[in-house]
Amino acid sequence: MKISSTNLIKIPLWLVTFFILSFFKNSAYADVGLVITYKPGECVYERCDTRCVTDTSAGGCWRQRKTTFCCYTSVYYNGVFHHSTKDCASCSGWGTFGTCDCSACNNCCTPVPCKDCTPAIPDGYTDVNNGCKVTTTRSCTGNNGCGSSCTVTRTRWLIETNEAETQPASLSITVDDETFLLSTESTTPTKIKYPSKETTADDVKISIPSRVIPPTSDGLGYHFRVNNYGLNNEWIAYTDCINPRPEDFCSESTNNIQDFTPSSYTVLNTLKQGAEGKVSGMYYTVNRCDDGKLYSLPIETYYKVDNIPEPVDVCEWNSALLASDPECINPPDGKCQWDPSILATDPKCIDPGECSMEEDLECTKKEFFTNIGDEDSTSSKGCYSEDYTGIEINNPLKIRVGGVDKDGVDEIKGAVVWFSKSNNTPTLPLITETYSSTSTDDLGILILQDGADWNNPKIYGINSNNTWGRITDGELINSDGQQIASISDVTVTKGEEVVTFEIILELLTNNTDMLSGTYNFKSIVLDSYMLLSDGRVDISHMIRHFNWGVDLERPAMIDLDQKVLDSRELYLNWNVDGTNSGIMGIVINGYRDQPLVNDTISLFGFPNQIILDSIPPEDEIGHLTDTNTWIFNYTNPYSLQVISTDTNRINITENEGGIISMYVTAYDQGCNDNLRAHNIDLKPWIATKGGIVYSKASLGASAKNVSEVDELIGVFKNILREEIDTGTELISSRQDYIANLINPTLGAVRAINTYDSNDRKMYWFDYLNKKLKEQKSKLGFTETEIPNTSSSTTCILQDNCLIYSSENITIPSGFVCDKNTLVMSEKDIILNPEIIEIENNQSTSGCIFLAKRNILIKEGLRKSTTSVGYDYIEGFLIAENQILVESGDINESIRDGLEIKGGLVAMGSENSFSAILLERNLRLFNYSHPTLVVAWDIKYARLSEVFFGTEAPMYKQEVGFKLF
Amino acid sequence: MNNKKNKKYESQALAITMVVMVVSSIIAMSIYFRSQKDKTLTLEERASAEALEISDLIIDKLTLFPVKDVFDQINQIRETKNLEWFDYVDGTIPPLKENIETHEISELFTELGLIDNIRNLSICPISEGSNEYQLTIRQADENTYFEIRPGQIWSLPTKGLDINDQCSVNIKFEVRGSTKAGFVLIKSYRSVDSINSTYKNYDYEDITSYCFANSSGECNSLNENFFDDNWQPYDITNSEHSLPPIQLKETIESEGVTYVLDEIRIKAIGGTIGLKYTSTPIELDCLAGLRMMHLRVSANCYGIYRGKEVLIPDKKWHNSLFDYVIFNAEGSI
Repeated sequence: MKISSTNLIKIPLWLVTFFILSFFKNSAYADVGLVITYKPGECVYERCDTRCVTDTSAGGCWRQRKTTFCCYTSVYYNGVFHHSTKDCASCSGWGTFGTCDCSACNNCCTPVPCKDCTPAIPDGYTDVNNGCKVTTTRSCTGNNGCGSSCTVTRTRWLIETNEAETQPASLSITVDDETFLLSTESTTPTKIKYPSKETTADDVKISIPSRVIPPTSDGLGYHFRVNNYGLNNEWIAYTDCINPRPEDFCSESTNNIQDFTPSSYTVLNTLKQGAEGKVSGMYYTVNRCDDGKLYSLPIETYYKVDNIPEPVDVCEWNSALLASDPECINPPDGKCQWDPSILATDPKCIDPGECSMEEDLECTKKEFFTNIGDEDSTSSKGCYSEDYTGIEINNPLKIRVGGVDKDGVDEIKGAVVWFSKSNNTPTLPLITETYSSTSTDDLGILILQDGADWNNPKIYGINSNNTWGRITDGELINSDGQQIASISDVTVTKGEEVVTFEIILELLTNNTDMLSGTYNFKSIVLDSYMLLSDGRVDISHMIRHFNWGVDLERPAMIDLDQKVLDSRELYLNWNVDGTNSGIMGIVINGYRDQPLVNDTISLFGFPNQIILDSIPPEDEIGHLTDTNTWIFNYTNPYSLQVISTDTNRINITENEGGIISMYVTAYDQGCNDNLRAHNIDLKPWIATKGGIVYSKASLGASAKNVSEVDELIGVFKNILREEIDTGTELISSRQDYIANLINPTLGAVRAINTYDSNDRKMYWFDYLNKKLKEQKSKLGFTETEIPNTSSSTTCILQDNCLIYSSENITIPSGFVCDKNTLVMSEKDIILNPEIIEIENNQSTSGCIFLAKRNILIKEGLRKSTTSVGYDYIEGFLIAENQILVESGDINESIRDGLEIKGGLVAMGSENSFSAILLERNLRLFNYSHPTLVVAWDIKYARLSEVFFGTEAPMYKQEVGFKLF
Repeated sequence: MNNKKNKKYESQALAITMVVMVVSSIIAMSIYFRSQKDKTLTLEERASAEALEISDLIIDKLTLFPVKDVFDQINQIRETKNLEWFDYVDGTIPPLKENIETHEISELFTELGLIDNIRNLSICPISEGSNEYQLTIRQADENTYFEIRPGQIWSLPTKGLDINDQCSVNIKFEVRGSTKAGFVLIKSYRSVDSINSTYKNYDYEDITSYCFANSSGECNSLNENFFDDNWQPYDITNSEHSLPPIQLKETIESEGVTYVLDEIRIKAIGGTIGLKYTSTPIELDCLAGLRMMHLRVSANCYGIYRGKEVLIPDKKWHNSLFDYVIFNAEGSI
């Protein structure tokens, strides 16, 4: 148990505090220094105090509020202080002491400071307080004057031992993790790497060899002072470490490698190309007794920053190239001088002068891409661009990079060309020998010197993970393994001052992932300092030169359609997407695919008419230099998508009966072209309902979608507008093509390559005639040769009427088939619409027309008014040769169509061009109206049984065995 | 020595002569037998062709007449010979023969009004040897397939037949050659008013197109010539497969008129198809008038037996040309 005695006596407040603490703790206040040791049962102290205590807890008098205790006794026994009070006197008030007599209160022995011994003084220490922060204590045993032993403890102070370190042996600077040992000769500074572009103070380090802390010191540190001279000693002045110049700085720490931290300037602004400077380094050791330091002598070293190569106008720099590169021929020395007239017209004969190689200059572009601007920039269809690589133009690109190094041409070791979409290129990509794939957003190519000369430079492509991979076959591939570019003809020419790198880069198409869009073209020429020893290449200072577009995809012809205005005019509408670049131009061509179309066509707003020639090979269509075209030129900024809706009105003039093939050729900025043909179908087409449709060859023009043509509502007697299609049952053809259905929901099916055994030439008339004769013997027929106005007036007596002639039979307009009627001619049957049956007739009464040669359908009465009307015939038509629907209303703008209820069967036995031939033509109304509408009816099959009886195909099968 | 030598040469010459004679004989004999065989074959070939020609001729003559007429005439001949009439549906008629002693086919020809004398033909005449012609006619059994060539029609013309309302027909198909084939089922209707009978207007539902398919049910697995989704697959790999039963007296209402099934037509598409059909319920004679008759004519000419047979429907139908709404047999339209 230790209690302070000095302060206990002197300061009453401490006493009170001690008392209070003593009541609640078994330990007393302790202090180092003199201590008094009490023995058990010893009276520790007894004295007066005149302080009112504020303790409100119950207990003895001394605890009473506003009470002064006059005598307080503390007795120590059993390890605990026991206290007692007496002669308590009341205080006169709160905060006012009472009075009491303390004369009888001092009955204990008061211990004195420990005495009778002196602590020792260790070596290197002193008992004199020298202010050293390093002290120690020594103790000895004495007594306190009351019979108790005690300890005397004394402080001893260290005598300082620190000494200064020797001068550093060397000083290094590390730039981009490349360490350079700096020269101590100011005349021969060490050339250091120009820091990479995004270098900060953390990335450039200065260092001196590290040392261990000597035992005589309390610490060891490193101190640097850097005086950056800048270019041509522009900053050679130096102040001090407290107020350094913005480019200078001092740095001190316990780390021997410290950041290069100019006081105000950035590292790149300080360590600029060609800049010099002095870097001093020293050690310091720390005193043991205080914070004082002792510094060694400094090592003073000197650096000079490397100059990186700059891109240059090769022709102006390298005289060696002048003789070999035609682009470098100066006009006065070249062929142009022999023909002054060329000088004014041929841009190649005009000396462009030296290109400053600044960003986005046209001359800069031509310096790097040497083949643009001539025939390589012109497509086979006459499209020209100096801004894009397309499938055809500026592809391959002949890339040339020339570099000059102020530190000497020998320092140049390589070059990089880069196409970057983001312009966020890596700074220090690592060279690896493994090439995997290249991102199509960033295509970089590295050419490196291999050995001492440039005979076989090494080629690297940038990997998707931003490392360089060695390429030996010249192929750059994407992540899918598809080739996206091809490098060839890599040539490096070293001149006296400039090194020229030339490569041919072909960008490849037909990949799922290929280069596309606008790229920043960048390049950099590398010197030896930019090739780091760990394999990284500093391309952080790569320079963006200009934008270069790449579009290796043809424009997408999204839509090409028309809108018919009337029988001669239509709008040609298109929707074209440039895909990766904007639309630069659209060329309209027109051709004919059949000789029936033989007039010119015109486009509103264009002075020229297009002469419709036959369709040439596709590569001859859409030339921008062709005059028999309509050309739409679009200007910058180019729209990615061009939509023309109801603005381009074409007049087909007098053409009809064939197809006008309109070709729309779109050009994007990459001069890629794509064309789509749109046929203006002027051929008539057939709509049928019921029955089977068969054609040996084509079924003619396909049915058109007329679902929104209101003019067709209620026009036909036997077919609704919604039912109009080529057929509603089986549609078959002997050939291998058949047009699509417009309304497949009607239930029709199609079949191609279908043989139909009913296709028999020179057979049916005789066969049916034979069957007729058999029926004649069974049924009674009225037989005549010349038709009257109706069946009933022609065949008065019997229900079955046979009109048979060995000559032509002409059915007059208005003829009514009001009996079972068969019209047979051994030559032609001429039908003049209208030929009708009696109203609401579903019985077998009707007409079958059977001609040994042709059935000719005349134009009939005009039915069209403001819209297309239809002539009408009811009857089943069978011709051994041809059914010809003759043209009609030739001079009318709106012509009649034809509706037939029954069927058309023609065998083409006389080798006709077509067994069923439609000469009627509605011109552009073909798009909204069928020319011929035929509705099948079972009644004619039943009627055929009257005249031709029934039959069944029977196939004989051989029985028995043939001997061999 | 010389004598021995001469004898030796004589022996050799004799041996050589013998060898030549034997070889020559063998060759001569082979040529002879070969020519005899060729002659025999030629005669047999000729007899075979004549037998076929005879069969063809007789079939052509008989098929000019409805099957029922042929049977009626056969029964009348049998009646004159005091033989029983037989029901050609259930009964079996013995073959009619034509030989040097029997004149049954000639009699039938005469009764049918044919003036052709088949007993005095220039080929395979009855008068020579054992030449003989035979005519067999019977109802085709259920498993006999009727072949329909592409573009041709098979039909069940129900009009005019007294068919029980419960009768249905089950039709099965089989490939005959190419699997790239199909058929169209066409149903036509007439009004039930027998006095002013009219025909129902065409309706899309009257037509169903089928393509031959395998078990996958995909037409195009077998046939790339057929387009559109409206083809109904007909599984030809399952011999039990058939069309859904068709009620022979199916009636439908259209525009306020009641129509009854008039005809079921099957048109072959793309290739030859085989068809057979049965009716239900079997206890009813649902196919009366709708059966196929099997007509076989054979001839035995100089010992060579050859013949021909045909299936003849009870009731025939209209010419298939009238099923077309457009038939363009030459060029493009």
